[in-house]
Amino acid sequence: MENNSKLPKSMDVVGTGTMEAAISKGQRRVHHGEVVLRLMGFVLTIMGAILVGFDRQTRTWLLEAGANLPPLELQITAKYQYMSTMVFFVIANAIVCTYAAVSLAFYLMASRDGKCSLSHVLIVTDALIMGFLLSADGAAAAVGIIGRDGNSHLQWHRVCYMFNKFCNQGAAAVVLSTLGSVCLLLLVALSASNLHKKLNHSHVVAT
Amino acid sequence: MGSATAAEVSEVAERAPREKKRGCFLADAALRVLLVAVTVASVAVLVTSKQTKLVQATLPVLGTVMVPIDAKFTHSPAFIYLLAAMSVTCLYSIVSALASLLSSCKPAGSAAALLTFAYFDVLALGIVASATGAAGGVAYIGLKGNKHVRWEKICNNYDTFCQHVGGAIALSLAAAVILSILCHLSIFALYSKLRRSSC
Repeated sequence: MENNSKLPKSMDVVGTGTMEAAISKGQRRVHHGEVVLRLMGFVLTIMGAILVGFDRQTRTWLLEAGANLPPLELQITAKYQYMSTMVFFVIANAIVCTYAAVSLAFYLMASRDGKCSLSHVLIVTDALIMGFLLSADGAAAAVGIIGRDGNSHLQWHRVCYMFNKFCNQGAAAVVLSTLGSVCLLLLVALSASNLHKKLNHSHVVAT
Repeated sequence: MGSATAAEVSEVAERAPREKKRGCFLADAALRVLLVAVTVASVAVLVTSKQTKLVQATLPVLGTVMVPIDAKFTHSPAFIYLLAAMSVTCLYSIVSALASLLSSCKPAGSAAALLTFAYFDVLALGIVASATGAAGGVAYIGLKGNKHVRWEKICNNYDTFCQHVGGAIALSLAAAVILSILCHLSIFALYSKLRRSSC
């Protein structure tokens, strides 16, 4: 009994120095990867939000009104607010880029203080936010494809041949935002594998 | 001598949280089985969503006739993507449920298994979430229509079809929630192992 209660302490004393060094070394290496991925996620999603948020195109068509009358001017503006999916896309990207900035700040503070519990919370929220952003990307892409190709079964006609610039800008935003969600995915994988690496290391030190 | 005492110590350290760990693994396995059920139900509901309606049409020679027109999920690429994503998730959840049950029998060397589960759960979560978003976006236009681009709503005509598609989307949303909980469980188990040994 005495033996059992004593042993872990002595092992701790032996293990602490090398383990702390190893953990801080490991944290520093992950530090860069996580910071870069969070920054990339921030930049890509904010670009996605801005590209769609400022996406509008106005076109004018001249209609023949009659032999003696001047032609009628028909002006149509394409805005992202006309499509609820695009509104969702902009809001989701804005939320995710805010989250990326806030989580980066939290991460930097926590790694400076050497807190371990926060990284676990961050992994889970990263995964949730990634799912949220991917659902917005999926929705925008699905509706964008109908806008480009139309759907003959449902009698939904294509609109992108009239508003080329609008559609291309929207497509670029969807691609950038998808890359942003891939960054979040890599971030989750990186932090999980880092957790595992720390665990392995602490096992090696303990035994 | 050294290794023997270390094993003893680790046994003492493991004994207390073993019950909790077993409970964690049981929850993991049960959620994976639930995920199989949810994805199978979603695929079944989506595949059986075909609805035929008679629509009035005016033809040049025959005059006004009633023409049967189908509504099928294969008419929209987003629904096909949803079907593919749910099928893939179903296969993955079957495999991972078996793996989870097997690894719950011998929880000793399960850190690598937990990490693998976390990777694939996050990947499956991404696939399911994007498919849910895509199908939901198209289904919303089908429900409400969009007058700016003159896309008419179809759910007033094809009510059963829309109910089936809505059910499939709701089930895939449930699958996404289950996957995020599973991801949380794997990460939490990894983290609690780490906290027990260091931190």
